[in-house]
Amino acid sequence: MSSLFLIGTLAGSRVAVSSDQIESVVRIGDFVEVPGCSNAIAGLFALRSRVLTLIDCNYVVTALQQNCSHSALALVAEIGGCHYGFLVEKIEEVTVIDDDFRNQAIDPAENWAPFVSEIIRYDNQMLMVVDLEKLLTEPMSLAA
Amino acid sequence: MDEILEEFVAETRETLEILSSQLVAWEKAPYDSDLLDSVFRFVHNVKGSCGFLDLPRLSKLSHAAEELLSAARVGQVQASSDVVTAVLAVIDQIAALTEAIENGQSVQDIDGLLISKLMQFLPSGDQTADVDGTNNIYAVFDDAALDLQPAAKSRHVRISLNLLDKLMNGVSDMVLARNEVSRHLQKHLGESEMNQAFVRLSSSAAEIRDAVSLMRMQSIDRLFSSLPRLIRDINLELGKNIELHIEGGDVEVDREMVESLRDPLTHIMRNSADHGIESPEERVANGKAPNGNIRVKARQSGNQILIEIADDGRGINLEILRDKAISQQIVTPAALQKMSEREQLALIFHPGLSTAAQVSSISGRGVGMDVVLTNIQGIGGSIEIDNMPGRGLTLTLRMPLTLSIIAGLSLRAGNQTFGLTRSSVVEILGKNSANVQIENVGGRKIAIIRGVAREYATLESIMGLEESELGAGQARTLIVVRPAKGMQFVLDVEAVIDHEELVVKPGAPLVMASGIYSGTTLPDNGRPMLLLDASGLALAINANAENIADVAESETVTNAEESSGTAVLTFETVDGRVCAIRLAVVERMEEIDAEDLSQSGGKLRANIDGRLIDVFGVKELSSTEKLKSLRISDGTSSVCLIVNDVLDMTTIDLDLVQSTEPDLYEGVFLLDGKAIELINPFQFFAGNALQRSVGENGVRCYIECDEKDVWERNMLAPLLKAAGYDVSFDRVDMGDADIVLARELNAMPAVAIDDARVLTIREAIHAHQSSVKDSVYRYDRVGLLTAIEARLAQGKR
Repeated sequence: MSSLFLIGTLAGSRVAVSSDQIESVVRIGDFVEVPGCSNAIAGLFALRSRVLTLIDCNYVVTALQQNCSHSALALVAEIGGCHYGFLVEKIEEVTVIDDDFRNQAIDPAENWAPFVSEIIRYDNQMLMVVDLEKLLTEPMSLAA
Repeated sequence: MDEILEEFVAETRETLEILSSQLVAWEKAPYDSDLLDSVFRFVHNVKGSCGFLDLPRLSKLSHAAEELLSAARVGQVQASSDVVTAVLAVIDQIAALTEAIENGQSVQDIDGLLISKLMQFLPSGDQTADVDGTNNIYAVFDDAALDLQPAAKSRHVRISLNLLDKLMNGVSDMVLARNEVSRHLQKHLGESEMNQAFVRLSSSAAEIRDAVSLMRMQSIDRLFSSLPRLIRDINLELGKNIELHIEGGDVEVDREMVESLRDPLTHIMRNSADHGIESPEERVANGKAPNGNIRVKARQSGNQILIEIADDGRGINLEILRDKAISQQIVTPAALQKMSEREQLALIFHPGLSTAAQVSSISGRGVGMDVVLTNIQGIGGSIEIDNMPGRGLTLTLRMPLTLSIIAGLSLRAGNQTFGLTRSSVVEILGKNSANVQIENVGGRKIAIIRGVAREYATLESIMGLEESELGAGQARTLIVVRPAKGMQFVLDVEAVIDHEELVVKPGAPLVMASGIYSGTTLPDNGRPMLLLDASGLALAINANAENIADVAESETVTNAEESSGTAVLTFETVDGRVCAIRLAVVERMEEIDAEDLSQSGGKLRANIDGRLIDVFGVKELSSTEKLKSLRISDGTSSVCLIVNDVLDMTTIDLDLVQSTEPDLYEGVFLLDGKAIELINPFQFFAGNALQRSVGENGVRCYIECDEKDVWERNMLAPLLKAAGYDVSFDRVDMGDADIVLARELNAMPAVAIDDARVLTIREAIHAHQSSVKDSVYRYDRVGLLTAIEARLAQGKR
C-alpha cells in the first residue's frame, strides 16, 4: 500500500503532510488580524465565500511569530467543521510514498513531538509527518 | 442505497421524532384513541413501506405491533402501560433498524422476543397468528386501515444539508461577485439601462440570500420533542418521578445547530435526571416534593440563542468535586486553593471527571461534560453553570445564531474593522458631545452620559491594539453597549462606519476561546470581519462592573449593602488625608475651573452650568487651574467636595469605630492597615436649607405688613428666605400660605387669630409682656424658625 503526501517546509523544517488532510493549497492574499486571541492565529482570510482561520504554524511549534505576507502559502483543511489555513513556507511536491517507508518507531525532536504522527523516508531523507489537527490542539489547550 | 429506501429511512426517522412525544403522552393515557391512532398509523405506514422494499425484519415487527394496536383500537385488548412498554420496545427496535439501514450496520436480532411479548397481550386465539404471512392479515385489518387515510399532504421536498450549504455558499459568492460588478459599473456611470438591470439583479440576489437562510431555520421543538421520551425512560429505569417542563419550543434556530445540540442536550438531561434529581425518598427527607422537576427553556437574546436546563435536584457538591479533582490528579491542592468557586465548578468540564459515586446505565459512562463542552464550543457556544447546592443546578447554553443574518454595525478601531450586533447597541454619540464626560476613578475609567455613569474603555485597549494614526485628529465615537448579561458599558471606537446586514458564521474554536468574539462574517467587500461579543467585552473591560452601577443607580446600593457591605469611595483630601465617602451619595466626579469658584455669601461656591453650588473641602480659594471635585447629592440638591485625588472604590463592612465628631465623620474603618475616616455627608446639607427647599414643595410664608414696614421687608423676609422659605407680602397669597406671620402691633384683618397658621411676632423680649399668648420675640431667630416648623408640623396633622 502507499499513500499520498505533500512535501513542504513548515515552521522551518522540511515535513510531509498526508494529502487526506489537505483540501487545497492557496495563496492567502488579503487577510485581517485577530487581536486579543492566541498568537497561534495569524489572522482570518476569505476563500470564496468562506472565512478561514489562518494558523501560524511557526508560532505553534517554535513560539516565534512568523511574518505573514499576502503572498504566503497556506494548506487549507477542514477540522472539526471549521476551515483553517495552515501557513507554510514552501511547497515542493505531492508524492506517493510506499508504506514500507513509513516508520512509527522513531521519535521526533521534543518540540515537534506533539505534532508529528510518524516519520517517513523520502528522497533518502527522514521526514516528519505533521498532523494538522494536532497543530490546533496545543494552542487550544493553552487557550482554555 | 437506492432512492426509495433513502426516502423511507428519512420519512420513518422524521415520523419517529414527532411520534416520540406522543408516545409518552399515550403512556399516561393509554385509552386515548387519538394517540392510539397516531401510533397505529405509524406502524401501519412502516409496514406498508416495508412490504415492497423487502425489509423482512421491519415488516414482521411493524406487523406484530399493528396487530396488537388494532386489537386495542377495537377494544379487544386493554391498552395498559404494559402494552405501551411492549409497543415502545418494538418502535425502538424499528428506529434502530432504520438507522442500521442507513449506516449499513447490523442490529442484534431480538425481534422474535419482542414480538412474542406483544403477542402475550392478544386474546389467546390470536397468539398463534401467522406473523410471517401477511396476506391474510391484510384481509382482517382492511377495515381498520381504511379510515386511516393520511391527512392532506403539504407540499414539501426533502433536501440534504450539503445541498443547502452549497446553495448558501453559492449565493454568498454571487453577492460578492455582484459587489465587484458594482465597483466596475461605477466607472461607467450614466448608462442607465445597465444600472437598472443591475439594481434588479442586486435585489433578487438579496432576496435569494434571505430565502436560503430562512430555509435553514427550524423550530427548536424538533430538538425538544425527543426529551419527554428520554425522561420517561429514565423515570422507569431509576424509579424516579421527574416532570419535564418545556418552554420556548417555537424559537427558530439554524437547522445544523439542532443536530449539533442533540447529543449535548441529551447528555445534560441525563446527568440532571440521574445525578441531579435525588430519589423520591431522599427528596422527601430533604423537605422537597417527591417529584423532581427539569425545566428546559429556549429563548433568543440578541444574537444568541439561550437554552436553559434547570433542575431542582441536589446541585453540585463542591466538596466532592474538589476531592475528586485532587484524587484524580486533575489539579493540585495548591492550585485548587487559588481557584474561585466558578473556576472550581468549571472542573466538571475536565475530561474524565465524574462526580457520580456509581456508574449507571443512564450517565456517568466516562463520556463526560467535556464532550458536551467541546460540542457546544464547536458551534461557537458556551456553557454557564449556576449551582445552588441542595437546591438545584442550572446550565445555560449560549449559542450564536449561526448563519443567520443579523443587523450589524461595522466600526473601526486601530486600523481594523469589527462588527457588532445592532441589538446590543443602546446609543451612539460623539465623544465631544457636551453630554459626555470621561472620568478616571482610581485607574478605572467611567463615562458619564447625561448623568448616568457606565464603565468605559477604548476598543483598542481591550484588543491590545495601537490607536491608529489615521484617526488621531478626528473625533472618536462612543457606543453604549447592552450585553446579554451584565451592566451596560461604553465602548470608545475610532468611528462607526456603516449599518450592514451581516451573515454570521461561527469562528474557529481558537478564535472563540478569546471570549470577545461571537463569530466571523464576510461583508460585501470580501474582507473577513470579526464580530464582537458584547458580553465578552463587558467581561474583558472589568469583571467587577457592579460597583459602577452604584454610582449610576443609587437604588442598587441598598441591595449591595445587604449582601456585601457598603461601597465607598476613598480619596485624598486637599490637606493630604485619606478619607472615604459612601459611593451612593457620589453623583459624579468632575473638574472645576478655579475661575468658577467664588467666595460669596460667607461660603465658597462654584458656578457650574449657571448654578451656584456649595463647595466643601477647601477653606479658601487656591490658585490652581483645575480642581478635582466629587459631586455629592442627597437626591434633590448637590454640593461639590474638592479633593486632591480620587483613589479607589472598595466595599467595607459598616462595622465602624465611633468617631468623636459624629456630625463630621460616620466613623473610622481599617483599609490595608490604615485607619480611614468615613465622611458623614449630612454635614454638607445640614446648613444648606436654601438648596434643600428649591423645589415645588417649598413652604410659603405670608407676612402681613405695609409697604413701608422696614423690619418685615428687610430683616424678617431675608431671614426666612435664607432658611429656605418662600416669602410673600401679597394679600392674594395669604389664603394659600402655609404660615401667616404678623407683628403684634399690626392688625390681622382677614385671618382669625385662632388660625393655626398664624404666628404672632411680639416686640417684647419676654412672653408675659405680650397680649397674645403664643408669640415669638422678633429677634429670636432660632425661636422664630422653631415656631414656624412647629406650626408646619401641626398643619400636617
